[in-house]
Amino acid sequence: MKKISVLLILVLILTTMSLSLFGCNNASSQDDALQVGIIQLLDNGAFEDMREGFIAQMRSHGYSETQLDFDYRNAQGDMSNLNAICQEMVNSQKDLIVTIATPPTQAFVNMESDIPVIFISVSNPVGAGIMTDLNFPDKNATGTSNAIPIDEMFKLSQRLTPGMETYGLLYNTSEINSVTTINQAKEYMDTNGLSYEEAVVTNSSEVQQAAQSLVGRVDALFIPNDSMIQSAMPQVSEIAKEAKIPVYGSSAVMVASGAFATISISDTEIGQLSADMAHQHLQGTPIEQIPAVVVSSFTTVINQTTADALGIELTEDILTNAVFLD
Amino acid sequence: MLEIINGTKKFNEGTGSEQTALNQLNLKVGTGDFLTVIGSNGAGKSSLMNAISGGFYLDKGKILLDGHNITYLSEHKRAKVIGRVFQDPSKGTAPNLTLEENLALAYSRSQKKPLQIAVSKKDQQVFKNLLAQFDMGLENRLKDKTGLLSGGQRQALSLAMCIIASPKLLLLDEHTAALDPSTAEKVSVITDTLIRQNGLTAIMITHNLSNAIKYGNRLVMMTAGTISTEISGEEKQNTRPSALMELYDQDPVLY
Amino acid sequence: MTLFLGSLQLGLIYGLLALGIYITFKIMHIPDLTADGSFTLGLAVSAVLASAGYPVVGIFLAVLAGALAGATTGFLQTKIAIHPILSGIITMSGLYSINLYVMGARSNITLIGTPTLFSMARSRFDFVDFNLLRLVILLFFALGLWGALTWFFKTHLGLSIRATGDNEAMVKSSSINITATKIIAISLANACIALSGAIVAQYQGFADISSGVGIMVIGLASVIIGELIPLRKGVANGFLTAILGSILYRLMIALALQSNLFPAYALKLISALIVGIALSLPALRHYLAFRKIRKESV
Repeated sequence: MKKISVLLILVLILTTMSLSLFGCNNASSQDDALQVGIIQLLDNGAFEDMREGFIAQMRSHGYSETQLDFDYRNAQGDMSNLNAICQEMVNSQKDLIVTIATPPTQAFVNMESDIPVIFISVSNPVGAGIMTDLNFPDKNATGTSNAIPIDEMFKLSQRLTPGMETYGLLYNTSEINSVTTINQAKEYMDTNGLSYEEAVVTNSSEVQQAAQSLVGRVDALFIPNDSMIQSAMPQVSEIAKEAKIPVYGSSAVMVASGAFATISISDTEIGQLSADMAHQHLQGTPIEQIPAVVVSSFTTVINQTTADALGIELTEDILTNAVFLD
Repeated sequence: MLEIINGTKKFNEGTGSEQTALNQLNLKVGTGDFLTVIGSNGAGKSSLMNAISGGFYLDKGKILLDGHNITYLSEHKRAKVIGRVFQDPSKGTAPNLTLEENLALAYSRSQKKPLQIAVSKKDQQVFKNLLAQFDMGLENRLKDKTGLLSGGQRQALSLAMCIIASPKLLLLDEHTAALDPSTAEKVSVITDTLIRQNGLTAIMITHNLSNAIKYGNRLVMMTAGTISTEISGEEKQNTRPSALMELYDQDPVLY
Repeated sequence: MTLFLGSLQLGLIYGLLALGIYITFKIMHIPDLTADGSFTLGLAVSAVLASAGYPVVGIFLAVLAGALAGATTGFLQTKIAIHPILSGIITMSGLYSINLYVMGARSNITLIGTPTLFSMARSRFDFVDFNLLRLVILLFFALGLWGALTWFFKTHLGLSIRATGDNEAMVKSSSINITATKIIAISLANACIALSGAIVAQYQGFADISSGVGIMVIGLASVIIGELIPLRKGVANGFLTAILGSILYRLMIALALQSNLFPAYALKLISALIVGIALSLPALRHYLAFRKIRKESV
């Protein structure tokens, strides 16, 4: 038994070592297809849309399957695996790395490899240490920031449902994108004489009670670009609808799941924008010359069913300019 | 050196299964006494041990050790000066630690330095000398894990662990009851030798009537939570086991 | 070689975690769930102090913080007599908020560009390959902790702790204070776990509040895999198997990552399978031995 154990352990070590070395040497002599690694921290609808949007857009730019090969890895919520995935990508010498959300971007940039990074939807790239200035990428990484246009969001709220004074803030404290956006929202509300109540969650099982705790205390709900709340939006919107509280979300997906309205860009679109930047780089522009993009093309998206349930009358001008989902 | 004054302990008081384990028990044990304790099941022998060691606190009464009132002192504080060997061989030793580690644990009771290496070369010699007296070959197995020993060997080790801590009082709770006749005999002999050699004060519970007569200078019989009979000195040496057996038959059933 | 060296490095970092879990799981036989919280606490303290310019102090304070977290769990278990599992859960849950507070109500702190233990070493020893340098630093930590723990558990205090985990009934009726031994053991274990978190923060270049999720499982897997390694049993070897088990676990994950046969979402399933197969080796061996005996007796 001892001998078998020792033998197996040696086999394990030698296999990993040789595969690792093999990966090093082999990558450059592989077929002409460009190797693009995609790194995601965990699974949820938002990240999926971003990834698929990116891939679809790349294909439509003309990179067929023989020209560009995607290697998609998901750490499944385990940060230690994230590090291992980054190491593996460097080891196999990818031509381009695409990271979704903040932690994978940070982990890869920290590896300080030569491989360029396009990031999708990091709401505060400078704060995350990924670049010093949005316009001059200096750490071999550039991409899209899905910073939510706070003032536009509140202006929308005043237009569609005037008279809201107290907003309920529902978000997941573990997502830095949410925290950043919420902080900006609070700043805006403080300067504009609005008040707010917060309900935070750390786990999807807490969402229902958090939402319920805000009923009766607030006039409207504001949900930032939070992937956990987005996944639980059907629940949240039911509770809000019953209490006649309009929910202002941060993505079209949220509105499709029952939130009242939003003024933002879809996750798929963000993925597509990032693909455009990747295409620009693959065509020859160096990363330092591709400034990070804070996404600003906004569509007003409204859920008709929710509007009806809340008894909200929509003006002519809104009806013509907004996109309606039910 | 040990005095119990009107010791009383009841279990499940107020319920249908109320039991009086100790009933106004009075006992004086002088330094150097070797007391053997007999009695039927439920007479209170183990309760007596538990009261002295601190396994439970008395409901009423006092316990004095060398004049100090230890009635409400915690078990682990009493254990610094009171050694106890249990009936169950697995209760006295740590199976995954080696013999010398177990002995070092017991030996360290008298020491004040928690961050000193537990087993030193000097200590190993002390352990060897002590274990050699048992004549079981244990002195050559210092680095073996205790779990590998037989029941009798573990009891011998438990006894050694108690002795090495130089206790003021040694409590032996039917410590040979779970051993085969030959090993039980060996352990009984060594117990008596070590007690007399080290001048220890000891209380031994046993069901073996001839041992109760042979060993120790006082014999005490417990009935219904008190001491019903005491024999000592020459009278004790001349008693026959059959005479004691009659006393058992006279004992009213407790419950 | 990045992946192989990287796996070794990760194995050593999480080996510190495994050492802590070894103390509660194998020596004390206590199920301690504080790990997810104390790991992140160490991570948070280390990150906050490093970004303020004190990376080394950060590591020291992280260790102290971990010890405090462990002491809390130990206290709940002993003096308040709460079940060990619940005690750990209570501390871990409370720590989530405390960790956020430590991080200044942010869930993510970046250390890219701020001085860390590794960046400081790199500027001092710039002639050495960075990967190799990091490996040496981590070896230093892992071997250092291993040595310290081995020494400690050979002292009187350490022996009392081992005895408490081995035969609590015996220790209860001896002169050893088991409240003290339990609290010290759990504090020590969580100090090691927090150290692991502290180094992870400075190694990966950021601290995220979710970094501790699932850390308990990783630690346990490392310890249990380590049990497969055939070394003579003893205090020193026991701790060594924890570190080696962690390294082996990381190599298994690297192997799973390199295979392109499986889609991305299968990563955890693959690593679970690899671990499961490794752990079934003892049962397999018993079965084969039994079959052999049966054959021969016919």
